Amino acid sequence: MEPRRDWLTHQLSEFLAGVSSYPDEGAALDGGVERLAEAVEAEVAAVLIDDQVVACVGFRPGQVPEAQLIAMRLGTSTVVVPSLGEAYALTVDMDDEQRRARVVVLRLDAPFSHEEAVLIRGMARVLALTVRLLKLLELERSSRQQLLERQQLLERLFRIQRSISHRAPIDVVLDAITEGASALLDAEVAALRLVDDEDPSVLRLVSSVGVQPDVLEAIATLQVGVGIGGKAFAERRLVLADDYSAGPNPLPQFVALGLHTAMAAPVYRDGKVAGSLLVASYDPDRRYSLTEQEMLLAFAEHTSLALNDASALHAVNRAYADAVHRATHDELTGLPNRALVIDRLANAMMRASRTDSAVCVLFIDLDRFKSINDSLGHSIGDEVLVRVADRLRTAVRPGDTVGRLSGDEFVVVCEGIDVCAAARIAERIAEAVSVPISLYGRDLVMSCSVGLARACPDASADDVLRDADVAMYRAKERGRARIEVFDEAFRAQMLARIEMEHALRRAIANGELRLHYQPVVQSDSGFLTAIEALVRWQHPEFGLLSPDLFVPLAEEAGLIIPLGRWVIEEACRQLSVWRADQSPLGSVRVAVNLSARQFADANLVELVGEALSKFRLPGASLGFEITESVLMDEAEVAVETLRRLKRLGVHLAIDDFGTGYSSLSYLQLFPVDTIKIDRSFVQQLDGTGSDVIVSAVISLARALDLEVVAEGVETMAQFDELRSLSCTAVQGYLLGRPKAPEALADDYSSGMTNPRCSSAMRKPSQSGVAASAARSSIS
Amino acid sequence: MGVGRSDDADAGVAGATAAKAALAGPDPRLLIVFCSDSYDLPTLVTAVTEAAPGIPLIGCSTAGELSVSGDALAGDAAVVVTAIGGEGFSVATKHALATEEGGLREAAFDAAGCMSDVEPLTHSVLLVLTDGLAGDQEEVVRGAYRAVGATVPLVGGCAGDDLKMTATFQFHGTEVLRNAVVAAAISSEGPLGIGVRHGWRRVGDPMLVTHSDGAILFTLDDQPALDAYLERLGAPAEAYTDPAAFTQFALTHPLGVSRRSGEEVRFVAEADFEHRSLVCIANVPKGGLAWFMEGDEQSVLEATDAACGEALDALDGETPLGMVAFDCIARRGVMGDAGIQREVDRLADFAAGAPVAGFYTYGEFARTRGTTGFHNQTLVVLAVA
Repeated sequence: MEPRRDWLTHQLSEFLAGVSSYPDEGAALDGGVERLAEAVEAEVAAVLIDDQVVACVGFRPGQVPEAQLIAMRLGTSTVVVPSLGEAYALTVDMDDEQRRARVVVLRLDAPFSHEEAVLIRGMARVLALTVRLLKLLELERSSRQQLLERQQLLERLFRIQRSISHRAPIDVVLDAITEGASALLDAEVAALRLVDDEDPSVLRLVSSVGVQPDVLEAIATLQVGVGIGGKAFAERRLVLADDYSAGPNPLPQFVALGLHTAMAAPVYRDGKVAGSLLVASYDPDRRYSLTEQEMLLAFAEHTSLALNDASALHAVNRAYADAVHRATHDELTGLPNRALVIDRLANAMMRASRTDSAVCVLFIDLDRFKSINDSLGHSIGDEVLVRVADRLRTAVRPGDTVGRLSGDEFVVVCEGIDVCAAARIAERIAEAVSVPISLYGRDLVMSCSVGLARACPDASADDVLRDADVAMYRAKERGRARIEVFDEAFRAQMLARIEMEHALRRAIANGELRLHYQPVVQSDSGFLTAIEALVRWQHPEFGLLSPDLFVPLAEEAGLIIPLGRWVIEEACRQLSVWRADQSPLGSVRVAVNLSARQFADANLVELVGEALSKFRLPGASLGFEITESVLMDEAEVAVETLRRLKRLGVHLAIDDFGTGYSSLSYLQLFPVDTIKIDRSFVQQLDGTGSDVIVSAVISLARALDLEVVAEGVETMAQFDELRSLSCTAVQGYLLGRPKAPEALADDYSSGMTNPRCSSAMRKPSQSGVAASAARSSIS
Repeated sequence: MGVGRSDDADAGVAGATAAKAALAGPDPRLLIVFCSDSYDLPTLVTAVTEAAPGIPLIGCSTAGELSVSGDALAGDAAVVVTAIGGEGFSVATKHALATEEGGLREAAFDAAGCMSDVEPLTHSVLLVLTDGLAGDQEEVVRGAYRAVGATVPLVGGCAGDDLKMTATFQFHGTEVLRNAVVAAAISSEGPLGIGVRHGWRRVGDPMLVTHSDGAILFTLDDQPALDAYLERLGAPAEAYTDPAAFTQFALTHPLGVSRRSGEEVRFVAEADFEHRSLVCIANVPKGGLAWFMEGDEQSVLEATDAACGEALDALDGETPLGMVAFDCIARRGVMGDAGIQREVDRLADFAAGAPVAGFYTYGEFARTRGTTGFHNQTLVVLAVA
């Protein structure tokens, strides 16, 4: 009668559970043979050790045909046994190495199937293991550790059985086996290989523990006979290696990892050897005891059980290979991903150092890809990337690696060439990329910025990649669509820049930043109408640094947002101090500059609101100055941001007016209060240039009902001219330099007018326009 | 083979009457007594032995008796005596008590030793009657197997006490015993046939026994066993809380434990409502597969047919002298009283005039293959030729 498919695996579970309950060796053997026979409905089961029958069920006492049992050969056969008659027999080894113990099973009604043979072998091994462990227990009764190990092993095996019973996907089951083997045998690495279904001379890795992703691909296949695993397969027995690197045929990757000891056991399917299970350790003193060898054999048996589904085997090989491929390649373009590229680069560098040749890395960034993605959509963007990837592949030499790192960044690794030759490849690439891409009726012309770096002898793969990245960045800085070769100067620059970045980061954290304040004064009365806050860096070594020395760096380093936040909060704090001190400065608004990135930050309005409420300030006490070019860059979005800021009640000014490309219609839409004329136009009022622009701007501002502030007023002549043109307010060295808050407070200690301002300024204006236009500075 | 029955209220009279009827045939070699425990058992057994002095006697108390041309109802005190005899038979009997130490296994091993006392004729069987409340009956099989080996099949049943579940009794000679294994080794020139069928159907998908301890089943597929049982089988509301209602339901909804060629049925005796576990009457091995099962009169009767058929087929064409049936009380629970009559009728049909005797057991023994042989909610038929 054919056993039902699901019955087999449960019998082993039952066996495992039952066998774990025996207290001593004798009971385990007696109980073990009974359960063995029960599991396969056999009439006789016997354990023979050292040519003696130590346990047997099925014969009357005194009628055990010992000699006949002992003479049984391994494997299946039919025998005629006195008092039983003709029976089907199966004899298996209980322990592999010493071949001292065997199990014999006899059944009357049907021969043993392959599956049953696997089951019986599994049970025999577990029984051997239990007996051995029980022996140990008996020797060291107080040793609870052994008991725990036995329980753990059996529990593990039971769990594996459960996953098989629950029809878990085969890869889940195999992973449970390698994990179990690795955990219980204290092995850093475990690897299960199965013979490839197309090429029987190749063993494929199908499950592993402790193997790095970049090594996985390299060791995915193994020749039969090679390595410990291959040998176990070929010789159908457990193989031990106390010194892995000494052989036989050690895998270079494993040697490189530092694996020292290993053992492997063969795995069967349908009675034929089908693969091997290997465990290995970095510990040079690790030796695998007999008990542990038995454990490995037990795990190997379980693998055999799990593999009995023929189609599963094929699926496993395919699924694992696919998974490895997915883990190492970019999904969209099929190119190697970052992990694989780094690995290949590292290997190339290793080879290069041995053969005294060079490795060059090209870092390729598509210019303005972001705007293509944004304007034409992501599906077109993806298509572009795929086409570019193809072109890169054809532009490089056969052995070179092309990889996609992320977004629109690609990398090429070239072995065995110098910088000049690599540069020629870079040129080929640039040319290939520049050929128009024809998509859905459009022709897209792309360009790329390429950074080229040569690997230094003692650098790491990451270092080289970073150098190439820096070179690429420089290419972008220098205008894009060009190739830049990394050199030492870059490195120095880069280091200096990194230094500065760190210093700036610290500066923000350690309070090395300062705000200085410059007054904005009404041109007819000389009254203080606003204060502009300007950031300074009190550098411990270099002293007080002006913003143009560090703000661009802050923008690049992504520090502008925290820096900006600090400025806003500090300005608010200072204001609240002035108010608390009842200084006249507390009654005036403080204006803060906003950079493009700050203006675009989604959290800006929230930040401002929080600062205002933290220091209990009305919105009108704060002002923001945004340059014309920033506003016009994305005018629609700017309108919305300005509106949201306005709702907080803050004052808004357009800075550096006249230097950007203003759209008059947007100008009308912007909810701003003030226009600040760029200093370059003010300088022309010295009598050397014309006042046409300034007067036009002032007229425009008045037409739009906006205040006008002239920046950079340094001479009386300029001042007079501005006053005659009815410019509302002025700012500049003439009226007061930017100063520390205490110093400014001193200047204005007695009132809203700076006593140091020239009295000439308080003359009535000559244009006849009414002085002190009623617009108060605080609304 | 001869079968006699009496439902006389007086133990001595009943015993004597039934025995005389059974002894109609010549040369009896073995007497088997099945009776209700409501009788004064020592008196009854003595009465039987007096009717047939020197003949080995075995027997036990039951949860109902079976005999052809009679009907048996629980609580209807009756006694059935079977006499097996004739030239081609050799019989030896023995009993042993299950002690603290060795338990049922040792007792079975011991009692089964009588096998070596019979003449080595062509066919043989070991018939055992045990105390159904004395422990793990699988141990009886193991112990007996160790004594007689693979060549001797095993049949028998567990004594009952009309479903009171307090004390069952086994008879050997004139002794009335408890915690005993009573064995009769029978060898015969004519064939002996054994049929085993349970007639329960599987319900739903198999589940893994994730936690069990001996006969207590805690979890199936990591779910509390009691809950899984009640839900999957759509038990009536009372069964969820009332122990009596549960047992009533469980009587016809056993557990099936996966084995190589089918399943072994396990009776679900009671529910532990607090721990949400099921208490069965025999081991439910951890790590194995199990099904819930159900049955109805139809399936039970079909099993009756099949078991008889199997037993008779094994006679190789020889005319049966009679049949002895060990029928589980649970099967009776499915059929009800009317159904019982139908079963008895079928047994009679198969026997084709030959006598039939048997009883309703708390468990059945039948081992013809392999090493296991304890069954629940199953019908075991021994046909003698």
